[in-house]
Amino acid sequence: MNSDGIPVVGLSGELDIMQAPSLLQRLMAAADNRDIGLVVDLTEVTYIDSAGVNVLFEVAEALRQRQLEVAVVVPGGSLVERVFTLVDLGSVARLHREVEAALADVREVSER
Amino acid sequence: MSERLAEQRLLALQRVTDAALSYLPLEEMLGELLTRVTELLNADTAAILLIDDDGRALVPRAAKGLEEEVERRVRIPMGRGFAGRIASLREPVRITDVEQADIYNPVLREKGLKALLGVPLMLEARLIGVLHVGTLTPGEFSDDDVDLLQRAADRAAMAIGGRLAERERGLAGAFQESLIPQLPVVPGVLLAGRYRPAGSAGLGGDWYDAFVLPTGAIGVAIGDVVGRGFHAAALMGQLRSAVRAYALDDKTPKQLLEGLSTLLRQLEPGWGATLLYGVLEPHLAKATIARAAHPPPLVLDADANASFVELAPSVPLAAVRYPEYEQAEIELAAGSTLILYTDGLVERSGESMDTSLERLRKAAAGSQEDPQRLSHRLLRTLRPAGATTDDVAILAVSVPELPDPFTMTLPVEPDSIALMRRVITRWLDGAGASPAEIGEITLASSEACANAIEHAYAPGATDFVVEASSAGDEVTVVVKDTGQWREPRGANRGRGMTLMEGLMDRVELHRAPGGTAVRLSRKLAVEAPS
Repeated sequence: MNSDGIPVVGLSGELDIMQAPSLLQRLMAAADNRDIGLVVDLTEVTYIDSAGVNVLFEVAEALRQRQLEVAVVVPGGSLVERVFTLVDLGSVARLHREVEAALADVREVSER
Repeated sequence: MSERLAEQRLLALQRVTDAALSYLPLEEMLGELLTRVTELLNADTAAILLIDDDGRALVPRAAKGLEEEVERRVRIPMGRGFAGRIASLREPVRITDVEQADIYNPVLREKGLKALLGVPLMLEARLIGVLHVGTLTPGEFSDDDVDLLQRAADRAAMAIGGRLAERERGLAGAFQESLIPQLPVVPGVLLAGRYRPAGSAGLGGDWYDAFVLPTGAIGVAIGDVVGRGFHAAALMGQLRSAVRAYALDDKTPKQLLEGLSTLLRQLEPGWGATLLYGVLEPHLAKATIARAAHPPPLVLDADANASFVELAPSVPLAAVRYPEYEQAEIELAAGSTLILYTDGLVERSGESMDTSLERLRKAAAGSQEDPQRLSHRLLRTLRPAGATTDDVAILAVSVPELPDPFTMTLPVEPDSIALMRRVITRWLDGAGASPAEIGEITLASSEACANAIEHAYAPGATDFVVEASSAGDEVTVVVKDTGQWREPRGANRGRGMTLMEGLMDRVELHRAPGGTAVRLSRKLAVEAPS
């Protein structure tokens, strides 16, 4: 799915140490330089460990260098949200609870 | 026939059964035998075909003038063509015009043979193969020729029969042995398998397997390849590999069976097999099972009540071109046991399947045994030793309650983390943790395990240990390795420690020359049941 230059990647299941290498490839390939940002939808993700978190940091930092904004959608009150708060993923990516809100946010930032 | 000729022939016949021959290796002996038979009958070609050990076809084992026949491994079905007819009639067959005759093997015609004579190779009233000779010039084999060839064949059969049985029994044993799987050691689960060959010597097609999947779930399989002998056993080995390949590729039981069915049709047209495959997730108290015409598994619940898993009727693998299989999700709660078996365990001739199954159900009901003892007893009582014609495989898996404290030893591999997570989740559930607490404590524990795996660079460090225990309303998970603690390097490396500290009340690090222990503690919001 790609909404006006903002690809949305929906993930599901468990983003753990075993999944990390393929996750990195998938996210890095999701956006190119014609895009203005990337939305990673983790609504269906039940578990993420530090290896999964490290991938999100790496992707967000790399895309920022290319002037692309990264937003992550995560359900409120979930284990995944708790993890993001602890490691401060908000320092490199915009955190939202709905895909629509994430898209609107990325669009707005890029228009500034 | 002149005196002289008759005398010569008798001499030649003696040469066929020359004692010296019996010292040669089997293939050489057969070759020498054929040379002498062609001399004896003044023939141009000779061949020995032996019954394949599945009893369904003749396979060329040695040939003279028809070497191609052996190289091409033409399998001649019983009853078909020249050799097949000799085998099913168990009588000599003469052909005077190969051009016009019903010949299955193309090599015979390609060679330009004109006349053929073949006789059965009989060993104590049992057919073991066919011996035939041919000529490139037109003519007819006489009654004397038939008589001579049959006498040569009878003696050859004795020489072959003993050797074959001896050699193949040895091979069969070694082969069967190599196919019995090494079951994995899985924390929080007990597995036991048993295989018993048929009482009558020979290889069977029953098998079982169990392995840990990348998700931490356990794949279990049991099957029965129709037919017997080396061919059936070799096919079983191929199927077993294919099951693992599909399973590692994350196929559901339904998809796995459908894939295997197509594969088997392509691999070995005409062969069939029954199979049952299940993905066990004891941490979620469930299992997903699908079958291809295999008898239903038996479940013993926590109270040792026995019942069969209800599965939709289905066709064997490769029976139809595009089969559709159904999978069923069943409960596999702590304290229960799943029993997989092949029909050899229950089937008795002249008895309905329901009666057979009921005997198994009754024998298992009420059992408090672990899988080792249970499978051993079921095999012993339902299949008393003796001349059984069918082989038997049985695989029992139980999901015992996890004790407190609970200890597990895992190999130093990233795969271990997913497995550890499953087991700790189940243990925490038993300790009364809420779903949110289970998620958080499990995550902290897996970060400690990731550290242990990273530290394990010391030679000989192959395992690490995870201990879970509770005291009052506090649970503690200790992860011990035999490696040296290394300070986290770079921003990334520190996140595991951040998570452990953020998710637990206390994180203690104990460093010693022999290894490192990370101790994680947290009070549960709800009081744990004592």
